[in-house]
Amino acid sequence: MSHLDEKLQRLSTMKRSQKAKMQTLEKLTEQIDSSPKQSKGKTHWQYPFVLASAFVVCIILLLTIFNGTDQTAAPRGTQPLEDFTTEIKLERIYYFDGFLSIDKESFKARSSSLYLDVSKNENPQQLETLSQNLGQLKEEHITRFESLYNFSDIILQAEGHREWRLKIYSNGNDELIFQDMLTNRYFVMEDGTNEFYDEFYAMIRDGRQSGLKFYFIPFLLVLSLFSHFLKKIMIKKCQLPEIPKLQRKTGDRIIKLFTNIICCITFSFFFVYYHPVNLLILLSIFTLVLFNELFFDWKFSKENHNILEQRKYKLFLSIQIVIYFLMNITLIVIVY
Amino acid sequence: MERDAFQTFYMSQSDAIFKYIFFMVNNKEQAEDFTQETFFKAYKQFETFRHEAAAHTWLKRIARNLVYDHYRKKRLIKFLPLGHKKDYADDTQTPSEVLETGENMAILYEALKKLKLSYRETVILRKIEGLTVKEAAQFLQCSEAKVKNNTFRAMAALKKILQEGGHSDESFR
Repeated sequence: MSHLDEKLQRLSTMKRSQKAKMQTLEKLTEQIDSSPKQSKGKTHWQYPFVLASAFVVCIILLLTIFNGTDQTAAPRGTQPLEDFTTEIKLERIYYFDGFLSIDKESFKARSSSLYLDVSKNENPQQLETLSQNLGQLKEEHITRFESLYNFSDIILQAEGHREWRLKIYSNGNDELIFQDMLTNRYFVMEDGTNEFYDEFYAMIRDGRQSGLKFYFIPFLLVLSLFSHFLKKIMIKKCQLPEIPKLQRKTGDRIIKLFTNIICCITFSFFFVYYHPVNLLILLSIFTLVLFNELFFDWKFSKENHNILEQRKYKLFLSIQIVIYFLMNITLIVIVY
Repeated sequence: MERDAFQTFYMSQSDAIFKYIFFMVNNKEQAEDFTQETFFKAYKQFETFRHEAAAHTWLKRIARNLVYDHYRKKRLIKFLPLGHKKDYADDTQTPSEVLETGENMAILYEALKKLKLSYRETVILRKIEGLTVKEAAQFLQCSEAKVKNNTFRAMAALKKILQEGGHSDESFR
């Protein structure tokens, strides 16, 4: 043993002041006496938190049921279709691309690309052709609605914040009938031309390759694959302990299942009734499902694993959360 | 835990905990406060003590968390000059308790203070408390190789500090 080692060892013989020791004991006793008595059962704030989240989702669900799914009220700046002339320079067009879901009672186009089934077109050449055709519409009295098929809902936006909201029907012979949602009047092409139909159909075809749906399904696939591989890598490289399903507490499993069922119902509900589905609502539901999953994993790890394993688990969960949010942001940026 | 049993527990364990904290923070008053906080936390969390480790190691781990939290907050306060509860003045003079341990101990204590925290902790555990490499690795929750490596580097750094202070004589070799 070197001299330095000996000297260092001698530091351990240092005497602590007995007076200070007793004073600290006194203060400690006071602190213990003045602290509130701990209840027998440990309170988990997490349960009410998870239940509150599920409750919020339920409220959204109920509000949607009671308030209806349609947003037919025209916003400010909406113009009647008879004001549309060939001179008007269109800036963009939003159209609803989900033919099976269109009905006569509701208007499903939205002036935002953050909706599944709603696409945007800003191609000046295509807009010019559409504008030329729409400027030549003439009013028509429609008496027989039975023979009309729903074709699309569109929002036209032009310079000066002007907007037109139209519902398009087809009579089965590629001839289109336009319903102005502001005045509820019907229009047809003056010369019975099919040019609008061809151009609009081409636009829908192009939009399907760049719309939100085009990114959303790969997003889901990449997310689930990534999560799966990340877990495999972490288990292999960091000896991350896997969480056996049956080892979880029954209470945890019930709450987790309950939240997932609620999210699943909301998810299906939005897809079936609430068209078009807003991307942000979808991502919120996904976030709730993911956090529900991660939270109970973390809780299990905290209760059953040692600090080193907890640290690894924390890293694993943090990476998942960061990647998830980065992917969300990327998706929103691509779409928007 | 009963009050009397806890007091006995404090009387038997608190000196070692105090010394560990004292060498980590180099301030007597602060070390006493942290010792009090360590035992208070232990009292509160006694139900969670799983008896996998010795009670002394469990206490020391609580103390370690407190010390690291303190340094983390200190670092943060440097960037965010907000008001904080209690500020301890640095002990400018070597405490008499250290001086009593022997000749030249003030020099060694001052040199120890200058070591970075992870090195200082390794020296405290391995050289002052006399833990084996395995015990230190278990406490620090790292590999034995890392403990060996850190001990070697910490001792080299300590010798360098002593040499720079003009204390390169035989007693510090």
